[in-house]
Amino acid sequence: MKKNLAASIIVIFLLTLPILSFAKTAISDQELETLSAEAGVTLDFSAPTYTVGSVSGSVLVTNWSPAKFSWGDSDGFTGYASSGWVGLAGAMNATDSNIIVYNTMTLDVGSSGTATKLNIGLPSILIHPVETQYRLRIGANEVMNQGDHHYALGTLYNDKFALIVNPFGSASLTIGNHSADNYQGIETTFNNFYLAIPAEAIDLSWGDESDGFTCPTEYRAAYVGANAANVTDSFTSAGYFGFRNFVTSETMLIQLSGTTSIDVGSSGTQTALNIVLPTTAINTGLANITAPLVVSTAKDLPGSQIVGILDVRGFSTRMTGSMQVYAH
Amino acid sequence: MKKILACVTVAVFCMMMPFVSLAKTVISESELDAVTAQEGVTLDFGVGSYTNARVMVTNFSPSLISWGDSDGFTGYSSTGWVGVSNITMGADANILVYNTMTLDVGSSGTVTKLNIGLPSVMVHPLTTNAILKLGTEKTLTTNQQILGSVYNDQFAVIVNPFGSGALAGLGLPGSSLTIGNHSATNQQGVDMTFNSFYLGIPSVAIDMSWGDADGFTGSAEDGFIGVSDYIHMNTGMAGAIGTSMMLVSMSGTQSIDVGSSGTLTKLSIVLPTTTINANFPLSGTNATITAPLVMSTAKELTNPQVLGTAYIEGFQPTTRGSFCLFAH
Repeated sequence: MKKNLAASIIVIFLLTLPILSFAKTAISDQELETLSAEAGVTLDFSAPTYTVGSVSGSVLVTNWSPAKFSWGDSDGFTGYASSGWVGLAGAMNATDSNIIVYNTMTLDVGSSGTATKLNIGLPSILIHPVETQYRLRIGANEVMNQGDHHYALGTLYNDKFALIVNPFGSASLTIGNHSADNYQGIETTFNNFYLAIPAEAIDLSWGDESDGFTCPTEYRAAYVGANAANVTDSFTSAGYFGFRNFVTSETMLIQLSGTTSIDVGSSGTQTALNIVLPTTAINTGLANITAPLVVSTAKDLPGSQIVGILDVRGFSTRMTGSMQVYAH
Repeated sequence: MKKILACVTVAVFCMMMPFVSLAKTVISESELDAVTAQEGVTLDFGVGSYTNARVMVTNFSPSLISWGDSDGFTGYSSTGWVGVSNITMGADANILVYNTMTLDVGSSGTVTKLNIGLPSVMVHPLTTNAILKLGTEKTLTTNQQILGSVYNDQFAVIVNPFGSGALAGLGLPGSSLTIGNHSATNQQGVDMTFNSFYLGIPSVAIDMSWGDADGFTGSAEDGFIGVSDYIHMNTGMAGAIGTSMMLVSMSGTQSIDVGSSGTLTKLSIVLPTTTINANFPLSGTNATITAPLVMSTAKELTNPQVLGTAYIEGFQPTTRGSFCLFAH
């Protein structure tokens, strides 16, 4: 009896196998050939964790401004043959300055059969300095800490600024060597690549923070006479001039297209860097620019000393070319 | 006779037992109450600095690393690979493990965590050479396209530089990682909390260069550009403990999850808060950076043609956030 029961179970099990397999849809060899597992990596930064204005992203960088940056030259030039340095000191950004990464980034590498390229689909990046203040200095050493009277050129300030890399989220860079002749070097092709400067009112000023100036004698003479009471020889307190509420009519776009390449080579005695620039078009959207020029006693340009208002329309410019960089 | 001998032997053994037990110190029940068996594992790799390390790894560099993509991207839809080949390092390149490592696992009653007290680990590549390539197969030898070559003479990064050795006496806690699942919701995934976690890059002069073996028209010989004797220096740290490093701090909790919508599987990564060039806790100072930019006909940047020197103070950006990673 037991043997019969076991045999029946086995027979039923075997009989049901084809029925289970009928639940699947048959796929032909031709269809199988068209299927491939997708490769390539996507990094998604779109979670709205951090928000500035209309931009939200998932990665935030803060405190990215150095306190000091200088560039030095050990042998100077004729008449000034000792070391000299030029740079920015006292660079300060408010604590809410930030960089936000958003949208997606993709990484792919592929071949046409003869040329292999790396393709980077760029994420969007908002670079957003706030309350930026630099003192432009020169100095005899890298810390440029000599007195202001001799070594401070002036102070640069803006209340806010923003630059968005890849604002439309569709830019990519295609990177390879000089594939036409398989020479070494880096070729980078810009695809749908834009930079955007949002249409936000900006205060931007240049100041002489420490010692102003004393009016030269020849200009003092022009005031002598009926207006003698108004003659002022000395303007030795801090003064600033700049644009208050500089604004564009819409987002200003900068487009980079074409291919940039970088090579380094030597003639045997002189080594040089050769850089082919991408085609760079500034203000492709023909945004109108309104720039009220103001002088003031403070870096953020309060008061009513408005020199005039600059209005620019139809301005768009394009740059192409190459350059070589070498030491002398 | 045999029975007598056996009885004598047993009697002598029994008589000796009290004398043996007299060699012990009597312990009271109250003292016994205070004694507990300790659990957890400590691995001692030699205390102090890397010169006392008891574990060394050599020959740790692969000769080739490549990354492949089977379906490329538009216009380059065949398989492509990118990577570095011809990787070599000097025979003295090594990884040294020192200080102590601890392993503990414990529970708060509702949440269980694994705690790893990290040893100090110095990763120390020397005279590193590599060629950056694209190709149509994984060995980067078929249809190879060379972008250029990279070189550096030395580099070091120390995981947990303050360890548990001599520097611990200065009140600098060693790094540890606390690992669990998402204990707040008891969901699967890895939560890893960084405690006093630092990476240290010692202040040693470094040469790094990028080279191009076939140059460009008019400069068709080998050319190299790089930094010669790049160095960062935290003088406050050197004054406090006699050594200087650039510190990278990681804090907060990193989490890693993988999940699927049924059709698409994603990896979700929450980044720890990461500060590059973080302040040294005892002095509150960070490193300045000095980077002489040079060109040369040799990868070691001998007979350098100096473009100038960049100097940077107070650069210490902080990154935080999250992203998802998936195939496309």
